Amino acid sequence: MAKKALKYVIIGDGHAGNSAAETLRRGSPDADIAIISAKPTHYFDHSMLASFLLDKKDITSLYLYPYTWYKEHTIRLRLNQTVIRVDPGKHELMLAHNERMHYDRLLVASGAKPKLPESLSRYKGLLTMFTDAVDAMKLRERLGKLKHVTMVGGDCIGLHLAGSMLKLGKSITCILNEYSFWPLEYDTSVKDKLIEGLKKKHIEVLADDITTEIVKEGTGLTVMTKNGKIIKTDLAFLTSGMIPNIDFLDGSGIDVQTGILVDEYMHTSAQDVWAAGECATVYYPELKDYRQSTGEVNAKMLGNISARNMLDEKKAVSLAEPGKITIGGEDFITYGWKGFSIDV
Amino acid sequence: MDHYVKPEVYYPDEDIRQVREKGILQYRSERLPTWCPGCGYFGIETALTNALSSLGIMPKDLIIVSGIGCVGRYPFFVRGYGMHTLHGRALPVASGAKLARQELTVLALIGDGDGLGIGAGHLPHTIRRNPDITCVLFDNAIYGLTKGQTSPMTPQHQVTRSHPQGNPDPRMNPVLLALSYGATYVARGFAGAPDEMQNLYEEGIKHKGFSFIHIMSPCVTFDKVNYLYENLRKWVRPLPQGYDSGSLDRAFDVARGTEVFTGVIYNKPFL
Amino acid sequence: MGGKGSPLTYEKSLTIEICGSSGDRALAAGEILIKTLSDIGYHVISFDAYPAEIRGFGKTVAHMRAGREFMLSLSRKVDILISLSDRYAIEQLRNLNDEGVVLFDNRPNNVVYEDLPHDADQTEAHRLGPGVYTEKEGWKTPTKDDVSIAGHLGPGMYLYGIPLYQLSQKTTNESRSRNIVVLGAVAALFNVPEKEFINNLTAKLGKKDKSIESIIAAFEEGRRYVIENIVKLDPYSFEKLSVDRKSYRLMDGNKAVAQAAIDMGCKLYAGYPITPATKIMEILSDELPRHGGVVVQTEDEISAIGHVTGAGFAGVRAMTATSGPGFCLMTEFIGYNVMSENPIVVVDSQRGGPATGLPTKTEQSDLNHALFAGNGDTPRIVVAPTSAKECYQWTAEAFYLAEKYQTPVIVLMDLFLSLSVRNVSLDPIPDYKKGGNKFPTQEDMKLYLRQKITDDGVSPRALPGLENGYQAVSGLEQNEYGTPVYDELSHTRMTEKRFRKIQTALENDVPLPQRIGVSGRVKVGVISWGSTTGAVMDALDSILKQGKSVAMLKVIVINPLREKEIQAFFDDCEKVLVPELNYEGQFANWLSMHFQKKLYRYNKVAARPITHDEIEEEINRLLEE
Repeated sequence: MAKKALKYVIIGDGHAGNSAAETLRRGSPDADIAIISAKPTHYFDHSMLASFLLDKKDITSLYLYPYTWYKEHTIRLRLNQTVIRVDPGKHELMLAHNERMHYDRLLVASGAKPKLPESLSRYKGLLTMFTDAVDAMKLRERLGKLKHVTMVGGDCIGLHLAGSMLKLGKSITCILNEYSFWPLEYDTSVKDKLIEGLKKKHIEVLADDITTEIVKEGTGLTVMTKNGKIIKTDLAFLTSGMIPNIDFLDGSGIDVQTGILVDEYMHTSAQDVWAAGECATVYYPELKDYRQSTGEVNAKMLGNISARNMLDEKKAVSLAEPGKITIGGEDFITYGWKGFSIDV
Repeated sequence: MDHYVKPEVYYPDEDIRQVREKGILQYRSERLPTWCPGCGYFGIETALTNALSSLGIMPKDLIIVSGIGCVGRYPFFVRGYGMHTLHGRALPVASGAKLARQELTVLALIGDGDGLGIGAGHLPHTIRRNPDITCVLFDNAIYGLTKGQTSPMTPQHQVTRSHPQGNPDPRMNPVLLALSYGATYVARGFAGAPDEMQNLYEEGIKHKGFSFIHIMSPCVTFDKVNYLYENLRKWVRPLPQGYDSGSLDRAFDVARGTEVFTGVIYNKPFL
Repeated sequence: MGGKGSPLTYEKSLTIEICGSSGDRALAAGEILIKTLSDIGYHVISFDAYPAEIRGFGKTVAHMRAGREFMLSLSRKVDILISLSDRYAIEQLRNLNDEGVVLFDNRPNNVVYEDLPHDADQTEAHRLGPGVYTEKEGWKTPTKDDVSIAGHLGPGMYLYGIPLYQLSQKTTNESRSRNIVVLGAVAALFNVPEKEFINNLTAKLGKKDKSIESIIAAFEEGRRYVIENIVKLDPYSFEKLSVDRKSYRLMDGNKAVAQAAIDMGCKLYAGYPITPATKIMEILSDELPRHGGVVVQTEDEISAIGHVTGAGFAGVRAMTATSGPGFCLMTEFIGYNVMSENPIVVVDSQRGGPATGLPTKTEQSDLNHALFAGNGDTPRIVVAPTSAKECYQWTAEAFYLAEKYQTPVIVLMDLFLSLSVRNVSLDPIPDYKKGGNKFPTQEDMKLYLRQKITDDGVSPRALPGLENGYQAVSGLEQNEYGTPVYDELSHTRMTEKRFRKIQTALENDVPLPQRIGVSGRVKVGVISWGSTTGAVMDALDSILKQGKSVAMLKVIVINPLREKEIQAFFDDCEKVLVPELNYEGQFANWLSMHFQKKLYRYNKVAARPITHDEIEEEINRLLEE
């Protein structure tokens, strides 16, 4: 008798989740595959952001895969649905809308969310997060009215966004400090080089400074820093790095440090649960150590490897080729980013 | 329209027309009844005509509705408004006519095959709705027009054309049926007793609500054993002196009894 | 809330479904929504019986389409699905557009599952255990009602969760107002003005529900939740249109028929309950007595048409309405009224057949029966209105024609026409149509002959109460003098007379069929009847905008046919398409009896109306062929 097709559930509609879904479908044509995402929109390719903002393209043209692809591959997309609990013992998920959902094998690929420094938590409402297509659409609506934007922090997403803003002729201020320097290693050489690069692109850089207060003023904001700087700005982006989005694993018994701990086969400490992408802290045999996964290159690769292991292939991870970010002629090496340049 | 030719005058009977115009037979049309000589229905017709005349009901205010069967032909012989309808369907049509024109007198004439066979389903419901119409059941206990088949009133074991080995089924009891569904005027008569019949009709027409009059009548052509004049004369007898036609219990006793009483069996005045 | 969404154009008329189980009051919500959309200027059609599986105590679906422009048919796909019961709404997903919107309760009272537990094997059921908590029963094993629609959407559909149960409890202390909360959400999500909404809420619920304030609070809470929590991503939106629709009323075909009966002075309605015609009787039971009429619920359809026959003879306008099975029982009386030349109006709202068939599904398969029912040569008038407006107009006409030509007139509706609600503006009926009887003249009264042979085939008809107008009508063949006769000459003349008066009706009272679309020669011409004509008109609207060589002929009177005009139309058409909702092509067959033209048939027995998109596809196919 044929084996009953398994039910694969993937939490997260990003690079890792989608790459895993594709691999799972290829390896198991009959399996029930579902992707769950708390986002109201489908995941879009951030590298296309500038063109989205500039060209007034439809957001659907930026999607990682078009909806028809999911239909053809009978992969269910459960958007706008939040997982609030995982019960590996029962092989069950609890969703915010009171749904108990069964899985045979689970991949957690819930990615990361913007890190909100403790000191800024009370200004959450005034900071703009940039994580999904809705944020991109909202930004595009306001774009005409924006002259100046502030990057609270200098993470890679922020730098990428800054690149898009530059192309649109917006002036930019970056507030940089050690906590907001992600995923690059914060050391002096990197920092100096980055400041140099940004300045070359006419970006105002406030180095080793920390945002202390944000006040709403008319349609804009006033941002104040520890060093006494006062910035009048139209929009303040929270770009102080990302932290794994894994709150829903509380109480699941799955081992977690910064991210979800997985072995070289991307398997977590719980039976039938794998993790990949920016929510995962991966054991690399080459390093004989764990490393927090960041960036889309890693996400794609790790998604694929977890899926192969979920299909019982026993495939171990290896380090990805490092990527390169170019800013003002300066190159930076990153792990997991395909790399980009804000120099045109 | 070349094919249209004026009708030749071969229809009316000039003599009959003169008779009618002189007012001798106010309720009779120029058409003579087609019933067999000696048929009990002649008596019924005469009594009914006399009742209408006695009550002063004008022909223009009269609708006579019949179904199919020997009784069905009745409207053709009457001067007034007549409807010769479908087999078994006199009651709904009569009800509709009465509901439409309350001021008219509406008679529904049914036969034992037509009203108790094919159209029996209408009887209980017409009784329930209680329209102010008078229903006369012409019961000759046989299908006459189709030449002698078993009717719902044919006694069990009687040999007929459709049952040469004898009718296997028991006959119906129309009086009991009418009483059971709550008819407020139920009477029985015999075609050979015209005065009594006339009285039953007059009372029935005057009665507000549905009146049901069962008339037993011989079929001289196709029934040689059952409803013969001499038999019926032997069987029927008037309701005893002092009979209380206001008592439903007594009425049921009469309906269930073996004796064939004639007269107003039940009459509950409209309050 | 995010982007507003583009306002509707005709091509983007919106179809909305509110789906619930019987206690969810989905239909009440639908009524309020469609009335509101009508009030803000949209053309609307609602057809609550549309879904494929209506069960008595189970699923109910309010189905409606709204658009800026006049329309007569439904769309194949649904744009917005509102779930008050996920169990049933899941079944409706198959009709949802690929970019459709789903609204659901994202905080239901109990735990729900992706799939129906009864589908699971024993161990699965055991594993699920007593998973559902309800206030009444405490913890219990999940049943097939405890499912969530969330996992069943196609990719690209929009899912919006609103805590219907919680907000209903919060505002009205009961869960029954979920249907009101969701209307608030609809108002906010799709830009339906709240003022009109609240007016209609008050009008519908204010009378019987004393706590109208809490109802409005429930509505407002749904609205507020959407504004504060939901990012609108779908493109669908309404707006208040600046058109005056004050003369428009919301009504279904049944109501239109009943209204026509009242306005035309019908004094007797007799009927037997049968889906989908029952509502006509229910409306008239309430209204006719106020207009001096009477309604009789008879023991069967034979009795019903019998009553109507009696009333017709007595000179009073009378009507019955039924559906296929009931119409079968009436057959003998149709013939009787043809023979006795008596006026009756019979409405047949067709449903799926044969026999009991599909009582809750629409079909156009009684045409043969309407045209031919009865033994012998039985000419009669058959009309088939194509919209609620025409149901009114042509029921009124039916009374007039029946009386004028002393014949049965059959009004062929169907379940879709009977039950779909539209906003219509009724044209007043000319006064002369309120009395059509050909009374005898003084000359006639010298020797009154009920069956007098005349040039136009119509004999003078005396009504009871008239002295010397005496007559005995019959189902037997009679001569002019009313005597039953069985000879060749009389039977021939009388049969000719009965056919001749239908020809007279054709010449005097049957309007020319309306031609719509490109004039002159066309590649494809469509001829249709009944409610399918609505879909053809909607399809043509769209096709003509593309400049294609297409025309249609709208035929309402099916017998007698305007042969000359139909022939002229056929001569203009390279191909003639005859779409209808029956298998054998009953109308196409009827046309083939009269015309030589090759017909392209499009037949469906889909248990639902043919939609405009299907007709459009078929026309395009014929254009390209």
